Amino acid sequence: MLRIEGLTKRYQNRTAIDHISFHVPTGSVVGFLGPNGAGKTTTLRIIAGALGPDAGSVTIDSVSITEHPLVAKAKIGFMPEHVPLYPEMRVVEFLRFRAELKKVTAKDRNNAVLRAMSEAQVDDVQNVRIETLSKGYRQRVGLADALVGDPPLLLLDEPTASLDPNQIREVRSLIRKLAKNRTILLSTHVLTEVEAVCDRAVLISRGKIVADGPIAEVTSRYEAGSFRLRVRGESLRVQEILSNAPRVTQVQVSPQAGDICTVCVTFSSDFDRELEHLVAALVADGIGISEVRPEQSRLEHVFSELTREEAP
Amino acid sequence: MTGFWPLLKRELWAYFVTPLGWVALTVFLLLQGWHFALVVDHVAAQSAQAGQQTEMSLVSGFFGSTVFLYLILFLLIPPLTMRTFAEERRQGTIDLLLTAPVTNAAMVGAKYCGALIVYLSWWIPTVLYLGIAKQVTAIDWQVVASCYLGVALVGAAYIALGVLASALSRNVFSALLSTVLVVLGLFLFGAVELVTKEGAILHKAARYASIWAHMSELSLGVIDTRRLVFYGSLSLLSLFLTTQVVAAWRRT
Repeated sequence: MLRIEGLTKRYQNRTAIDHISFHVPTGSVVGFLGPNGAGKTTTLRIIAGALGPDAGSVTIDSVSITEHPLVAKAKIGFMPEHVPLYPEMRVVEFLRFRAELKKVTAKDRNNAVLRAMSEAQVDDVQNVRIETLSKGYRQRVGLADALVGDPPLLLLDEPTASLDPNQIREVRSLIRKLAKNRTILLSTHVLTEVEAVCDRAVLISRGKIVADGPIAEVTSRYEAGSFRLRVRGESLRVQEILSNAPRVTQVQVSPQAGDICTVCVTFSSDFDRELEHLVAALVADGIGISEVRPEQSRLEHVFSELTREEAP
Repeated sequence: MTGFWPLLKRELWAYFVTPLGWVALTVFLLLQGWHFALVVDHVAAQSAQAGQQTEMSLVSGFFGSTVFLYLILFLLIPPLTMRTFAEERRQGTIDLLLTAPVTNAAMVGAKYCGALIVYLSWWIPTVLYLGIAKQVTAIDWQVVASCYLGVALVGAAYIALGVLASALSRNVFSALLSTVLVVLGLFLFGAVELVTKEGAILHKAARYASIWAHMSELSLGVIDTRRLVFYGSLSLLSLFLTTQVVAAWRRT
């Protein structure tokens, strides 16, 4: 569906994206991950046709965005990070305008707008002026705009940025619904979002792709992680057992009330098996364990490993 | 010109649903009404002195003999055009246009035509002034038509300059200020003909670009094709440059 080859963009002396290549297969939901300033938004703006590349190509269904921009753009629904809307328009007026701009025929326009409003769940505010809507609703109107005309490819740039937890849940649920019959490239730096809705992940750091593939494959390449344990026992003994275990790179013990302490333990690799051994060793030493939980998700660990040298 | 019509409709909608559009129309009609009353007073006083009526003076006075016509244009055209691109860039809504299947020419054309249609609509009620004047004096409607052609030409060129200034500006205030400076500069350059020797190159150049001289000619019913070429070229050149500015946004 979407193929990017050697894409490069420079801003004066700074290279925002540097010969990046990846593809998004039809029907998949791909998370485009990276820290702030890594080049995600620049990449998405080039794919959407708002910005021209200095080198490389973007094709959507084999149509080049630079050679046939009008045809290619008709295949894309783009929701930028800061959803731009005309505040003085009502939701339905805005979507009708967008539908006409996207060349939806007069006969189909009304249905296209109703369908987009229903999918993005904004039909209850269709006659409300955009300037009076909450941020959550504005995000949804932006999503409805991306959906108008039923484009096969959706580009969503930080769709849950600055939303409250309830709104984030709602937008994620919407994306999951949309993913059933569309190809989606979801740009974000919220890793739980990618783990929740994506099949694949493309990681970008300092303008270069540093990982690309199914999430399980990406995380398996960087087997390492941290766990937090809540244990009952003498803290020095806990520290001794953990520090002597193989592949443990760091141990932090924080004594709590009584003989309870919490421990943060970090493994270098292959932590599934080592964690089992470590738990068994603690139990064998008479130390009680009431909780074991990952300190960070595997993807989160991969993300921090691969983007560690990112600018402050 | 893919995308021209929906954009033009949106532009016109935006002008007529926001208070700014109606405030501008009201100010324009109040100022033009006051200007017309001054001209009528002046012509009536002249006629009383000379003992005869000069119906050409009324039309030429309104369209070509006073500075008020231009002052009103300087006052109202910059606010009309300042928002066209600068506001879209400030709000970020320019991305809606850049990512839609719309050509640069359609985008610029729709913004320009929207402002031009609004400007021309301001002039429609002024026909009533001449209709009222017709009750007391004879009006040559062919001269009137050439006068309206003149205000359309001047407006078309000023609006094209304003749209270009808006595309080059990051905010509406700098768009407003730069448009005022450009149109005022153009007007003052034309006025240089009054202070230079006839036959001098500067005098010729200033006369060729003098809006006051052009409107004086047109208010007498004289349509010189050089004026059509001047305003047509100025408008087209400004619009061409605006499309280049829009194309440059996609590159940077």
